[in-house]
Amino acid sequence: MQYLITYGSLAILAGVGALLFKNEKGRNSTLIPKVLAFIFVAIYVARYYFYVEYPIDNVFGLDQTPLSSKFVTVLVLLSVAFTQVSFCVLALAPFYKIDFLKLFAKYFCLPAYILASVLVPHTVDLLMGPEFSDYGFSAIMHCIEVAFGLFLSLTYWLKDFKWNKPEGKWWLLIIALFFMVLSSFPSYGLQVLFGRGPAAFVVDDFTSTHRMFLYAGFIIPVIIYFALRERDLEVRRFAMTFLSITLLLSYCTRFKYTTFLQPWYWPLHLCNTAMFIVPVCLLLRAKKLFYFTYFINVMGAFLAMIMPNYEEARIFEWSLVNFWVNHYPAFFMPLLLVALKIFERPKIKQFYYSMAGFLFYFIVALLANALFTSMGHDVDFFFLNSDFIPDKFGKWAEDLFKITASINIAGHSLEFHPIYQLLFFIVYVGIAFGIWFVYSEFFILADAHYDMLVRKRKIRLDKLALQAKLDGRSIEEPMNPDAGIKLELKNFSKRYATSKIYAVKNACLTVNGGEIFGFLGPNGAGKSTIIKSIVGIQPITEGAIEICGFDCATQPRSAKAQIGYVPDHYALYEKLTGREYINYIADIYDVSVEDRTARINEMVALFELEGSFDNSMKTYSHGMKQKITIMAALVHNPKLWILDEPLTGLDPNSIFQVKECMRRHAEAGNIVFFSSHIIDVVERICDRIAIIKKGNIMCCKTIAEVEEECPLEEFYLKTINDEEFAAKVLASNK
Amino acid sequence: MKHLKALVMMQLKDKLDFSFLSSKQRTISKIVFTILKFGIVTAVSYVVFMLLPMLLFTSGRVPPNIMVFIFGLIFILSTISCTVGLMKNLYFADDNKVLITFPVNANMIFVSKLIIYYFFELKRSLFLTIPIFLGYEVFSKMIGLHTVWLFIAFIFISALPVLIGAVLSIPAMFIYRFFRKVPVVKLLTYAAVAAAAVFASVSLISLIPDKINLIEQRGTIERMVLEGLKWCGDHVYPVNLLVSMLVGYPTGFEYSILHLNVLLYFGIMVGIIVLLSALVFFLSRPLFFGMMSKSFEFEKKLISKTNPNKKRGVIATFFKTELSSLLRSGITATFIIMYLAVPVLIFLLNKVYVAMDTDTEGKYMTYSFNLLIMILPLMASNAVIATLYSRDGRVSYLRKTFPLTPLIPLVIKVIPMLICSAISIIASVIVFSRFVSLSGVEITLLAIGLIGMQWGHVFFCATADLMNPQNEAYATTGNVDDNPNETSATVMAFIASAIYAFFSYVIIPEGVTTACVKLCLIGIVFMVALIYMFVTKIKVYFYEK
Repeated sequence: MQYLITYGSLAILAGVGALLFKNEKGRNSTLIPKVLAFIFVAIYVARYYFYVEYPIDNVFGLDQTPLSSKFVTVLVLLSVAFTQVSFCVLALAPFYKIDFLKLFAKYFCLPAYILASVLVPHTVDLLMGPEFSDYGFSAIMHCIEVAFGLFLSLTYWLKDFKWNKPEGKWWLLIIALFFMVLSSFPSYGLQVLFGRGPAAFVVDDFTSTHRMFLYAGFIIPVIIYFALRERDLEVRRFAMTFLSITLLLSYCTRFKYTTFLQPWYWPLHLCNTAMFIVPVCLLLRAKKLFYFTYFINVMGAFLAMIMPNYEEARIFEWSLVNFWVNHYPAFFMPLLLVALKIFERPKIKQFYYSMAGFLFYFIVALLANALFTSMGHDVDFFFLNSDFIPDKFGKWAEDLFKITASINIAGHSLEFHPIYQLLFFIVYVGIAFGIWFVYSEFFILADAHYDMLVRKRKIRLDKLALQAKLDGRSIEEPMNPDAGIKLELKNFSKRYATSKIYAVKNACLTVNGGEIFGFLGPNGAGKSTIIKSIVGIQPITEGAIEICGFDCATQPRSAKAQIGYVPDHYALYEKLTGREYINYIADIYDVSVEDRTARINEMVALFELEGSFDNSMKTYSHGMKQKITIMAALVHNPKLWILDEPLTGLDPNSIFQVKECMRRHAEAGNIVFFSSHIIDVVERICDRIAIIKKGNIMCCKTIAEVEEECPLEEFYLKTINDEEFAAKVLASNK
Repeated sequence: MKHLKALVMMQLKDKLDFSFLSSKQRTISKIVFTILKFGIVTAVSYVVFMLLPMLLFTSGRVPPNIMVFIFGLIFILSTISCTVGLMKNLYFADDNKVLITFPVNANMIFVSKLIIYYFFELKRSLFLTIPIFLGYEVFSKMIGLHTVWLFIAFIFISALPVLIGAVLSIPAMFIYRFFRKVPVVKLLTYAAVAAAAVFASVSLISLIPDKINLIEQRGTIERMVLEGLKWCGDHVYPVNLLVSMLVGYPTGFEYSILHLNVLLYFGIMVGIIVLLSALVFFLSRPLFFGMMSKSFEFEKKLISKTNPNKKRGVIATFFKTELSSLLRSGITATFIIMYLAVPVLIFLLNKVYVAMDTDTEGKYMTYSFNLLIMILPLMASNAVIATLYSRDGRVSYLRKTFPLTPLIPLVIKVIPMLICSAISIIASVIVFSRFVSLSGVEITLLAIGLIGMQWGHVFFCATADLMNPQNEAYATTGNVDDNPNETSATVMAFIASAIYAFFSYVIIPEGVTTACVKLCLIGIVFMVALIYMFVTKIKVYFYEK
């Protein structure tokens, strides 16, 4: 009855408050929710820490519950988890611009608090024991908290009183909610539901159950990372703040205000501090403090997970669950915060800060241990005061630990283990430094994986775009079926890796079948860049290249099948014989035996390779190797023959033969596209030329057009060296 | 002399990184690390000599013949290394073509090449042999004059392997040329050597007694070791002489440097050096001049018979080409040696383990150690795969121009290694099963797990090479020192194999079958993950790199 009266009055007040707040606008509409959130936190903290006893600690199984019904007990436990989720959401929502939090407040928090309202007496009975039912302070605070939660969630309804239809991937929200409830489930919950658990599952000394817990410590952050890495920074920050706070609340279940009056019970163990530091860093964006936890706590938590210090606790027992609830986040939260780019990757400066922080912490822990021990309390902050760790390393470590030194101050005898403690500090700093590189490697791995994912998506989208362009035709068919034998550069641009400078910018060019096209330009102008992009050695940054109607970027295989390429430096499997190599290339281009034999015989005779064609190519001279590359480019009779400075190293006779080959190939209706520095050859053999300078195609003219003005050599030199002339040429080209 | 200095410096700078000289800070750190390196080897040597009497020699003294054994071993290995190196460097090196055009006396080119090898030998002495001797001398309380003498003596001793190597490089060169001309003989010789090595190893291992008790049999073992060392001292007289010169002549319980015999031995050594120098000058030098102008011409005259043109499918042609290239390259030997060695090593390991009396914990450790030995050498040898595509030089670019998915040639290139390593692992597991009685299912599961780890690592190495190609470096110099891909491949090999072995140690107490299932699953997951990364990275990055 007392509850009904108290709670009823508070609920009415909550309703009235919500109605009053409904029409608030302007600056107050953002300020008031924040103030209310602070009040809510204050109420929650007061309720939380003014619990005096914990009868629920002694409940092992649903049979031992003080409530009459098992169903109600389960319901109360769920309600506790729901209200914890709701508390975090309602307290954090005013500080984040995330739309789904409003939906959350409307559709989850309000029902959660209604359920909690119904279950108030049962919750008080279960958590505080029946003796508190007679109107204890904590019970009243509990009523106030629920009523306030109800009021805050009502405000969301009153501001936006309509049913929002679920949009997009609403099931993701359901999954998120499930994990939010899971992370908020009270640490005593499993003990109440299932008792202590079977004795067979020992979570210590690398037993299979212990290993499962260890694996979970790695799997959980990976799942969280993949779930969050593509969300907005605001969402990532909220998610991690929520997680850190809700886990902190679960961890703190046992703390009461009296704990804080006794400093020897403070959570000063390294991993305990992490539980507090992480949410503080997230809420206050405290970078320096964060890097302390990043370098120091993670390592400590990992070591603790390997060597847990609970004694014979069974798998569902509160102390065991609490240990892992404490150490999991201490281990992975700092790493996740960096991996999710909420905090930057640390630099050496941050490492120094963290080490200074660690030194301070270490000294505090040393003094606290010594002082409280001298006062007769059993303390062992950071395991500096007991042989817990030396015991794991054997006699030598125990012997080191036994070396002690005492100081008497104000009647207290402070005892230290100087050698052990100094060694401990040095080793820890060393490990922290070493582990930095391990973290970095993991982050590089994570970034690389993300980059790969983004690129894979782009490839998939390009493929879909190609299919749409082909409009139902096979992917093997040309994009432009009417193109015939043609090479076309459409606003082609190329930039290397992360460079901001374009190697080639906005190049447009069309070469038709039957033409011998010369490509001129000084070294580094972009000739090879264009050629390498045409043949597929490097990807296209912008624009498109089409070969006989096939798009080089989206139909690379079909496009490449049309090309024969002679690179600027011969590239051969020199351990093969000339014949083996040419046959290898012919196989790749699926040339029949008859065709290849005829072409090979013709070219071997042409290039005078009869005596050496069946010898290993490593015995060949430079010219002979160049001849083999030319043969390899022609063995499949390509429609587009590309030669990148092909005459280098050839003897006069071979130069003549190559030129003849080029003429014959063009006469057969194919394209011969070649770059050269030998202007005489270009002038004599080409139909058209293009000059490229600093990545721009300056002009594209027939030889006749050029020679109307001046000889090609003069035209070329003026285009390259005379800026005024070059500007004129470029303008006329446009 | 100026020319000689220029030639030596030019070749040294090509082989060593002197960039640290440009920065004072880096120079200091280099010096500190060098001293540290020297100190560490000396300290390790000292600790070993200190432990030997505790573990083996009941007399409490380390017999001086042990230095004969150690020095002899190092000397033989150095001589082999110099012989092979000088054979290639004197008669088949590409830089001969450049050096011959320089306006210097041709003798200087020859001498400069020998000086380079002498320099490396001196370096090896400084960081390995001298610290070992120094450790011994510190242990034997012979520091002082002995130490100074050690440094002086090694200035001379370091010339010996170079000069012997220069002389031996002549027959080695003829054998090498013969092998190049008649590859079948080379193949048969290699096969015969490999078979003989395996047979000899297995035979030697079979000699290990069925029961080994190190505590009870300490006396027997000590006697055998002492006899072996005595045999060394008696039969390797030149080495014995050199060691006597280095540590001093025994006078009662001490060794004296200031002894006539030491001077005599030193004189003999200098005499041998002079004799060898004369031999090198009159035998090796004329041949060097001959080969300098001949090395890139003589092979052209070879005319093979004309072969018919054949058409193959794409996969078959890639397989044939890659296999031919691989077999004709030097790296095949590395793989073959490793693939043959691992089962033999497992045989040896288990022969010793079985003979030892181990408790349950010890048995678990032997299981894990076996697994480690089965995969670690194979994985470490995979470092070569991290250079496999880059070794093709500019051919790798050409691969991008082929009108087919790049996956085919890239995968085919590693297939021979995948198959051979799988066979090696299966053989190792079968050998292992003979000693620990595994069931057929357990053998299969274990083999699959190990193959998964090995194959996964092969693809990891291949991916590393694709993502950070060194084609240009290989195309221009033929080799890359400190290839980062090799380093990451090696590091990964150590980490992955150590974790796998450690994990096996943790789970074996659950039962061998359960452990085999888990190890098999881990291997498969590791392999699938790395194959997925390999395939995806080819799709996404191949044309960009």
